[in-house]
Amino acid sequence: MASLVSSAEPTSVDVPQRPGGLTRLSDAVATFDSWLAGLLVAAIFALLIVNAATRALGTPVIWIDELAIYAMIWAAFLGSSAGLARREHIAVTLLPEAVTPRIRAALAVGVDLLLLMFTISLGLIVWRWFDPITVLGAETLRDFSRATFNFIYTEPTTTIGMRKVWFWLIMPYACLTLNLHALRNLAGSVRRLQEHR
Amino acid sequence: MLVAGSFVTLIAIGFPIAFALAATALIYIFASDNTVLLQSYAQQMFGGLENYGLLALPLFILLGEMMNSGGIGRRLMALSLALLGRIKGGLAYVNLVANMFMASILGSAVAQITIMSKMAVPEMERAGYPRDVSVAITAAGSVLAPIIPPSMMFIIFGVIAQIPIGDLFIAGVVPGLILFVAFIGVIAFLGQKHGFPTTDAMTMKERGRALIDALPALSIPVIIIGTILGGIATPTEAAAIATLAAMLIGLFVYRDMSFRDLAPAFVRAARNAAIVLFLIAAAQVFSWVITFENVPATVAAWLQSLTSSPLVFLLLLNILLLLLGTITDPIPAIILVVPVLLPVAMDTYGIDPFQFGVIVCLNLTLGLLTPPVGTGLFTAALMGNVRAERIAWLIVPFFLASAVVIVLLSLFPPLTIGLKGLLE
Amino acid sequence: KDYRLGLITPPPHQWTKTAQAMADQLKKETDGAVNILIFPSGQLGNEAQMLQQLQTGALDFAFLTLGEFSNRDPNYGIFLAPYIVDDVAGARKLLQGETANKLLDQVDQFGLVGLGYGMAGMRQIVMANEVDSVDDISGKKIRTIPFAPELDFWKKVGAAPTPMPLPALYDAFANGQVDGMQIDFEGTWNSKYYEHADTIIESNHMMFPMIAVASGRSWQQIPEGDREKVEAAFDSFLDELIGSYASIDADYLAQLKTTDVPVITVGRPFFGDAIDEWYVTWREEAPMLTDLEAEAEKIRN
Ligand code: NA
Ligand code: NA
Repeated sequence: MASLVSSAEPTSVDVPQRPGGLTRLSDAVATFDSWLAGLLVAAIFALLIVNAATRALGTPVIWIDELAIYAMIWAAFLGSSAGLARREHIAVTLLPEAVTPRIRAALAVGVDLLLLMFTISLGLIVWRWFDPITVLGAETLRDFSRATFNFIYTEPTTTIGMRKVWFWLIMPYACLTLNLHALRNLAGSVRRLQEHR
Repeated sequence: MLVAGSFVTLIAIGFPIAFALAATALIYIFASDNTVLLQSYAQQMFGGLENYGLLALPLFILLGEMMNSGGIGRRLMALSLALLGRIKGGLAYVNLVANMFMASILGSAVAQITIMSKMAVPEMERAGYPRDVSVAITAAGSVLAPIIPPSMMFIIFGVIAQIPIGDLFIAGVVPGLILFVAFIGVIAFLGQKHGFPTTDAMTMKERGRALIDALPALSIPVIIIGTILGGIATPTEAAAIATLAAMLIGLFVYRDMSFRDLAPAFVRAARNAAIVLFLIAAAQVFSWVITFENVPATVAAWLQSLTSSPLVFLLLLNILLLLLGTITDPIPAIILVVPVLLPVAMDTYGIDPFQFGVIVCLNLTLGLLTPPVGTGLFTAALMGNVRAERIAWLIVPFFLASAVVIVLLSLFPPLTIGLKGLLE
Repeated sequence: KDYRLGLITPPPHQWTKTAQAMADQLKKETDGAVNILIFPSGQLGNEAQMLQQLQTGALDFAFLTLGEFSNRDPNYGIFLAPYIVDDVAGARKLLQGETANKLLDQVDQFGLVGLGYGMAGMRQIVMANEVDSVDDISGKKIRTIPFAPELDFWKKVGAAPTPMPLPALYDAFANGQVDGMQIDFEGTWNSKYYEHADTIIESNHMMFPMIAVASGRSWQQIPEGDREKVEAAFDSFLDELIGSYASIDADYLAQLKTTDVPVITVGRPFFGDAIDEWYVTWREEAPMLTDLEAEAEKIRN
């Protein structure tokens, strides 16, 4: 898979002559997320070496595996969100490549519109899961869990000693950025369809 | 039907596969009127990645990045050249042997094509080989990458099948060697047909120099195997240690890279890993929803009604996989097929999960080289500046050889599970 | 109506077989009104994910180990007290006792209805090296499950508890990334861990309970009459499951004795002061431990 991405710099396909605010924001966020994901991979790399070393010395550190896994999950959500901005996700482009440029442009608008609908749905699902308004109104987190059967804020991690919600927070963040990139992609493909008129 | 239809439509119009899986899961939830699942949807997506085995993925990708930047591949190519004597089509064999070396370190065929194309194709062209044939041999050789351990596909298969990845790696060794021998046969045939030039043997002095130069590069597979068998590291940690070694070798021994190259390598590894991981997360949500609706059990019952013979089942499976491989790449295909068919293979037909895994991974790897969707094929074509259709045609003999190997693996389980048994 | 029961054990495991047999009987008894589909091998997610689906009502029933509970309320860890019972028969009585029942009722704090206890085989120790005394274990890396009470036990023994996912265990043990493990005879035999062992220690030092639960949400939806039948079925099948472990442990031990790996039998004194120290710590961490000890004392006499 090493050739999916050729460089760490933004290689957007949607950059018009003068990038608009939306494009620039999406690029900036994608670049930031990519570097953060790279940093997390470096952290995983270091954690695993420390894990092997401490175990070899007979003093294993029990929380390293779990922390490395969460770092990987953060990197996955950050990197794949950035990947949406750069249209790097694997797709079957057989049909789009077989049709006329104009139909292709129209198809792209359809795909990007559906994608935006999906990212909005994902955002709503995550919103309902975190249920921020109800939880702010609740007396205690325990009351919130009892009343809603939603235990998101009380779920513990296994070995780290932190609540899991801190790690789950990557999902609302990724939803925000995914929606931003999906919107930018849609704007770009609409623009290209107009050029074909 | 509505669900299957929307999935196929999404894929056909070019919707990214990962998002199509996640969206289809959502559609299924509404179609089956189980909206209570929405409350668990996000947690399932996150939870699909909470798996220790998956850590191997970013690390083997990182290892590939470091080896590429650090000049390790180049030394292995030179060593392969030094190993051979005066022989017709020598460089073609060198290409294959170098591919074998790389396969023992790299987990991904596409990564391998990228590295090998840069090294092998110009060299072969200079020596008088037709360029299209050189590119085709390079592309075919990369099929070894996912079969000879370590392998990203085995990692993903092991995670989904919940079987030890180390054992799966061992199960791949013999099939990898068989494939290597089969490809040597194909190259000998091509050498006659295309009149490959003869390579002169190197002097002993040149050979010695190439060997000494390659020693640090050879330490990478030694480190991976040594740290695992020596009780120091799990396969995942071994990849981390090997990455550290590749980094140090590239920086201080070969000096092919500088500290400035490090950060971009980490970022590239993170982004490539993220694309695959997100696909896995989406597939987990999808597979959770279809499991909840008891679809795998239904498929199992249907298959059982078709045949009771494991061999017929494997034959049907191979045809299905080859077809699937033409329209998609291996990793998404594994994710689609394994959760549904592995339980059927094991429980209904009594097929060993390791045999099943090697067959599925080899078969789907060929999909990387088949048009219309063949990332490996297009990468090779792009890097070698040859038309993809031409390469696809030239690859046919390798493809047939692989098909024979797949049939052998299906007929004779000891080829895959025998070595594991011997080691125990 | 279709209901769903999730568990992490694979199809051949005793828990899964029990669940399937119970589902079959309930289906027959209710003419299909209660049809429980079994999802083994964590097909619907790991225990944390199953717990969440029980809470939302997506999943109706589950067999859960104590890990997720003791992570949330240390009192659920008291069953992992070393040598709280001598054998399966003792465990069977203790799991029907007052403290056990109180904890079973208290799963309502997690949005669940407790239906009863089951168990797996008594915990034993499998080591790669020869073991004569506890000194041969101290300083070694022992694979455990990451439950606080279990980790603490191994720390107090002087070993290095090393959590590790089960699929990775065979290789890790073969290659020496871990030196030993806490496990039952069933797992030792079925996963062939004995192949790389130099000592199997029949210690019976810990029990390993399972809690069978229903989702609080979906329990309300089940018709009254069906609920009684479900409760009765869980009761009888779980009790049978626990009882069966006496012979399961014995059978697998007998099989292991056919290998050339030496089996040594040890009791509480083998571990020195470690166990007393464990009780001192956990009486404070988990106040209900004291009650459980009193009950266990009665059972023993
Ligand atoms: Na490989
Ligand atoms: Na293909």
